[in-house]
This record gives sequence, C-alpha cells and structure tokens, in this order.
Amino acid sequence: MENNRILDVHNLHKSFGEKKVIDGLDLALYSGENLVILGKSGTGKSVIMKCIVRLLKPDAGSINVFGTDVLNCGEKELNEVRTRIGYLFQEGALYDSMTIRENLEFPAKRDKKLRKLADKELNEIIEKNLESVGLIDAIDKLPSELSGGMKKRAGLARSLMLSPDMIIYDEPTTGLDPYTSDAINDLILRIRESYNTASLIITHDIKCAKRTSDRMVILSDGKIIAEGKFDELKTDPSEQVRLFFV
Amino acid sequence: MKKKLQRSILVGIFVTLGLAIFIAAIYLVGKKENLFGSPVRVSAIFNDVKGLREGNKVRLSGIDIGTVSSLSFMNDNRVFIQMNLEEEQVLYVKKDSKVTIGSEGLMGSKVVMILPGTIDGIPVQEYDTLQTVEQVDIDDILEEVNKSSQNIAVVSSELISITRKINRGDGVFGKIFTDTTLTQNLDDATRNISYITENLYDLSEKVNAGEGIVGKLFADTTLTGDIGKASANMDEITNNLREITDKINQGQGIFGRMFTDTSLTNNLYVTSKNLQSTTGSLMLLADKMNNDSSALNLLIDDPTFADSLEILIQRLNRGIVEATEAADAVQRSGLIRAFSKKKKEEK
Amino acid sequence: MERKSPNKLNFEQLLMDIAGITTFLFRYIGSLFRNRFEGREFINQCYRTGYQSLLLVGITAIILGLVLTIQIRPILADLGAEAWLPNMVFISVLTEMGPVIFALLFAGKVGSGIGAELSSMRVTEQIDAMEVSATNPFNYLVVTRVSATTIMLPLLVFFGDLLAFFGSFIGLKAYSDISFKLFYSRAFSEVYFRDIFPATIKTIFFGFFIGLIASYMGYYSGKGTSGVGKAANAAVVASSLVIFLIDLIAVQLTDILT
Repeated sequence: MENNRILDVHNLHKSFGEKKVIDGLDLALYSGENLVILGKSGTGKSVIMKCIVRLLKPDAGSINVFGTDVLNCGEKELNEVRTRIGYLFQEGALYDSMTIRENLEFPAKRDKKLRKLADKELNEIIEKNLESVGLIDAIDKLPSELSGGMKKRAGLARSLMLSPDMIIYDEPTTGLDPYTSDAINDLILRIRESYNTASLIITHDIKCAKRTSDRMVILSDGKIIAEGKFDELKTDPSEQVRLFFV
Repeated sequence: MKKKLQRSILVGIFVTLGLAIFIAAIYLVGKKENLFGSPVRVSAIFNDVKGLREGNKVRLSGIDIGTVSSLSFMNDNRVFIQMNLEEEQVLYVKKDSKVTIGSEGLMGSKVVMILPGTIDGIPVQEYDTLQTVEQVDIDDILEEVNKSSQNIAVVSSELISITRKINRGDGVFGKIFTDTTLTQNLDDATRNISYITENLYDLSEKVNAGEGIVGKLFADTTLTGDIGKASANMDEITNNLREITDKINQGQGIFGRMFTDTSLTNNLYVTSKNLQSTTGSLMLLADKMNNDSSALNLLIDDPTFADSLEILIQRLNRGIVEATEAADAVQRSGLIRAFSKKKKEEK
Repeated sequence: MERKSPNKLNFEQLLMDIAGITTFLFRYIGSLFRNRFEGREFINQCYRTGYQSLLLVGITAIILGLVLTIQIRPILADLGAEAWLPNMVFISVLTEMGPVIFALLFAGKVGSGIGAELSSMRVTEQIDAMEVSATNPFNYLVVTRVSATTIMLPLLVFFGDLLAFFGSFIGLKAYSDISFKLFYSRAFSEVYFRDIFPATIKTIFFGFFIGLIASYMGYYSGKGTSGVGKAANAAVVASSLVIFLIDLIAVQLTDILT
C-alpha cells in the first residue's frame, strides 16, 4: 500500500479574496483505499477536490495525481488524468437535457478508447454500470424525473463509465434521508469491491465517515488537525477533534 | 432517437427554405440589375446629366430595359454615360434612337429615356453611342409663355374697345363693316383670347409653383420645342396686333375714311377667323389643364393626349404664322403708310 | 472566473466583460477549428434557436409589415406618392427594421434561454462535470450554440423579411385594390444588392454576438439560483446593446463602401 501513492497533495494554499480557505494542506491517497475528509460545511473541502482535478487553481502548493503534476501539465496530460478520476458531484450534476442513458453515453462517446466501441458494446457497459447502482429501470428517464438519491446514483454510474482508478465523492449523503444515505454508503463500498477503485470522500456526515472510511482526516480552518482510523480518532483526546464526534 | 431524427429533418427544412428565400431574392434583384444575362453596353454623351446616377433606369417608350452602369467626364467636360441594356429588348433600340434625361415619379430619380428610332432601322449593337437630345430648359419656356400672355391681355383689351366701336357702328367705320360675320368673328376671337390669357396666367403660375410636375409635361422635347416656338410667335403676333389696334384707336376718323381697300378687309376677315379657331382650341386645352385635375396625369401617361396636344400646338403655330402674315400685310398696306404719313404731317 | 455583479453597471466589470468576451471569441474560433465538431448538438441547437423562434419572428414580421404600411400610407397619400409605399416599407424592413427587430426578438428569446441554460448548468456543476470527465464543455455547449445562432438568425431574418413583405401587402390591400404583381414590382423596384448584402452580413454578426454574449454570461455566471436570472438578464441586455453597436458600425461601413 505504502508504495502505491496515487494522489499526493503538498502544502496547498487557496484563498478567495481575504478569506483563507486552504492553508498549507498535505494529503495522500493510496490505491484501493477509502479516505474520508471530514469537516464542517464551508471549510473548503470541495475546494480541495476541485483543485485536484484543476477545476480551481490553488494559490500555492503542488498536486500530483497518478504521477502527473496536474497544476503544471498540459491540457492533454490533464485530460488523461481526468479520465482516470470519477467525480460524483453533490447533486449528481446530471445533464438535465438528456436521458440517463445519454448522460452515461456522453463521456464515453467523447473518450478516445470508448468512442471506438460499437453501440451494442457501449450499451452493455451502460447497462452494467446502471445495474451496479441499481438504476437500470430509469435508463430512459430524464434527470428531472428522479429523486435526489437516484440522481446521485445515476451520477455515480456516469463517473464509472470511464473505469476510473479513483473516485471523488463530494458530500455523497448530504440532503438525503437516513435510509437513502445508508444505501449510498453501501454503494460506495460495493463499488470499491467490484471496480477496485480508490475513493476520496468529503463529508460532514459522521455516519457516512464511519461506514465508508479506511482512513480519515479531519479538516478545520483549512488545515488537517487529525489523521487516522475512525476508531482511533473517536477516542482522540483533543478538544477540536472531539467536537466532530458529538 | 426518433425525436432527434425529426429535429434534424425540421432543421433541414428550415435551412433549405431560408436559403431558398435568400436565393430567390438574389435572383430577383439580380435579374433587375441585369447580372445574369449578358447585357448590351451602349453609351451616350451629354452636356448635363441633371443628377443621373449609376443604377438609374433606362427606359424605352416607358418600359425599363436597362440601367446606367457608369458616368464619367470626358476631357471636353461633357459626360459620358454607359448603359447596360437587356439583351431581349435591345432589338427595339435602333441606331437612330435618341436618348434624353427625364425624371421619374414625383420625387423620383432621373431616368435615361430612349426615344424610339425609325421602325425599320438597324438595332443598336454593343459599344454603340446613341445620339442625345438636350432638353430645352423649362425656365426659358416659362418666360416666353409669360410674355405672350401679357401681350395677349393688352391686345384683347384693345380689341374689345375696337369691336365696341364697330358694334356701335360709329360713323363711316360702321358702314364699312356692314358684314356682321366679321364683327362677330372678331368679337369671338377677342373673348377667346382674354379667356386664354387668364388661363395662361393660371397655368404659368402653377408651372412656377410646381416645376417638377410640368417637367413631365415637357419631357418630350419635340413638343417643348413646338411650345417654345408657338409662344415666340404668339409674342410677335400680339405685338403686331397691338401696334395695329393702337393705330386704329388713335385715328378713328381718318382711319374710317381710308378704309376702303376691300382686299385688306378680306385678309383681316380670314385672320380673325383663324385666330378664332385657334384660340378656341387653345381655350379648350387651357381649360383642360386648369380645370381637370387629372389632366396632368393624362399628359404624363396618355400618349394620345400628348399627341393631340402636339397637333394642336402645331395648328396653333400655323394659325399664328398666318395671323402674323396678315398683320404684316396690314402694316405694309398703303393705307397704314398713308396714315403714318398723315401723322407725320400733323406733327 | 466568475462575473461578480452581472447586473450592476460597473465600469470595472464592463471592461472585464469586454476582455472576457474577446477571449471567449478567440476561444470559440480556436475550438471551432481544433476540436471535433459536435454535430448532433449543433443540429439540436439549430432546432431550438432557429426553428422554435420561427413562429415568434413570423408573427412579429407580419405585424411589422402591416403596421408600417398602415402608418406610412396616409403620409405618402398626402404627398401623392402612394405608389412608393411598397418600395419604402420593403426597403426599410429589408435594410434596417427587419435585421434589428428580429435580432432583438432573438436576443430576448434565444439569448436569455442560452444565458439561463448555461448558467443553471454552471450552478448545478454540470459544466464542471463535463470538464472532469475530460469532455470539452466549451466545445459542446458554447461552440454549438454560437454556431447555431450565427447561422439561424440570418435565416430567420429571411423568413421575417418575406412575411413582412406579405404583411405589407395585406396592409395595402385593405386600403387600395393593388394586385400582387404590381405590389411586388413596386416593392422590388429600388432593391439592389447593396441593400441585401450588408443587411445579411449584419445579421450574421448579430447572430454571432447574441450567441457569444449569451453563452459568456451563462458560462461565467454567479453561483446560486439568483445567478441564473442575472445571467439571463445580462445576456439580453448586453446582446441588445451590442446589436445596436454593430448596427452603427455596419451603417458607417456600408456608407463608406458603397
């Protein structure tokens, strides 16, 4: 595990105007690992994720994904890295003018390898991915016809299309009822089993963190204040950490 | 999938129709601008093109058959214009056709008008230069008309006074003029002339006010030439008549005594008759011009009317010439000479 | 990049927008030649911007022709120049009224639509999602839309001109017994290529800038649902203004060139 670092974030700084959101953050992710970043809302968790895929440019620091320096590489290398990362947005970010099938087709048809597939083979992949998130019945529905949980699952199915090595979950359980949240947590674990991916999960939901994490870090004021397994951190004596487990 | 196919078809139809409209417009305008046929290029040279521009129309007998393609100065300051004529219509433009510049519509732009040549003439060919007719300036004509009408007014008033005297049968004069037809004729002529005078005044006023409208009227240069000549003649005759009547008025008694030459009386009779008929026609014309509001349109549009106008004016011309001759004869006759001698002696 | 206050008239923001739109323009041109053209989405956008605006433009065009004719008729009748009516109305529609009015309608309908759509895609992270799946959202969303508006607006204007022509005929027919043939020959009597081509080129620019500005406003809209409304609004306001600016430039250029 140790020798399989797929993500390396070093000394990351980012501020919006006067406000410092990320202040000297270090982070590493190993292949096949589920890392949870736990932090209160508005502490810049999403900002880290967006910096990793270069949706945002940090003010300082370096990010290395799959051996590529994403902040300073060319567009082509960047896109290669991006195809290996699945990203599940908070609301699923489904393209609302397209059906679920078209949503899944969309990245595939613009991918160098998958573009060459015949329609039939592509359909098989789409159906397999939808089945693994349990949405095969909704294949021809529009996103507006789906509930919040279904949207997230569909979004997950879409991010699986390019067979990523790493999936970033942005608040996977936020805004869902406890039952659906559990289902999503199960799904995250199941996906890791069947697709053998590493996962980076940002959440402020302690239940989610407990259920899905192999390892977790706690983020506060743009810095990591604690790191370890869930059970270790639960018994951490520091005041700041204890606040998260109340 | 089906929906998408349907959309593609609709977009296809939309684009096709839109382009069809555009192409149709291009074609229609292009046809008008002679871009798609091979036009026949002919030229003409004018002293003054009166604001003609590139793209103005070229008309033959009122039908658009081409456009002006270029205007340029020649080294003698005249203007060289080139015209593109439609291939099919060019057959009707003969080598002896003449071109002139007219205007189109009330506020219209200028047009080049081709006056038809001889019927069996040779059609023009590419690069031919057509003869031009420079129009008589409308202001000159108006001046003539004005002068004439002033003279006519004077003459007519004097004629009235003569005829009054004749009617009263004053002295010897009355006895000589026993022939009532002559008197009647003279009387009619007088009334007609005064009527014309009034109308001519009205007309010239209108002409002054709306030069553009009458511009059309005088588009045909032959006609305008005639009118110009007619009014010049009118001028002369009226001047002469005035002289005679002056003299007659001055010396009623002496005149009466000497008025024995019957051939002279005859001449005077014929003249007065002619004058009457011409003035009658003129009156009719002037009447139409003044009272019938559509007369002007008629003048512009109806060639028959324009023709009859021309004939009428020619006739008038002839009448006036005759009248001039008669008047001259009166002046030349020994009678008047004697009268003038007598006058000198008196002095 | 995000537009901070899309609705406040702010000089700094204005300059930033001008710079942003210029960058956007070059990015469009670059993307058009460098990337795979999204044909299907382009057709889809043509359908939505062109075909679906046809009814609106058509109705407006007929009314425009009708109203212009009815309003100008008495004035020309006083001058005794009623025969010039078809010509006058048609030329004014062809060269100025048509392109500008239809472009403004287009900006209102399509520009606001694009602004709102892209902005809501930005807000719900759909654009980000495209970006992280290594698909080029600019190519897919902006290039197709700008291309569609550039091609569709001139076509719509052709339809509009034709319908305004019929509208004018109906308007005149109500007052005088004019035959279609006479109307047609009078309407076209003074129409030249120098009227048609500048007007058409102008509409191509109108379409292009409506698409470009609306896409820009949507693409870089502010966060939150209020951003969507602001983006739609800014798209319409800015593209309407630009229509008149282009019109001003066009009229001067045509004046110089002809």
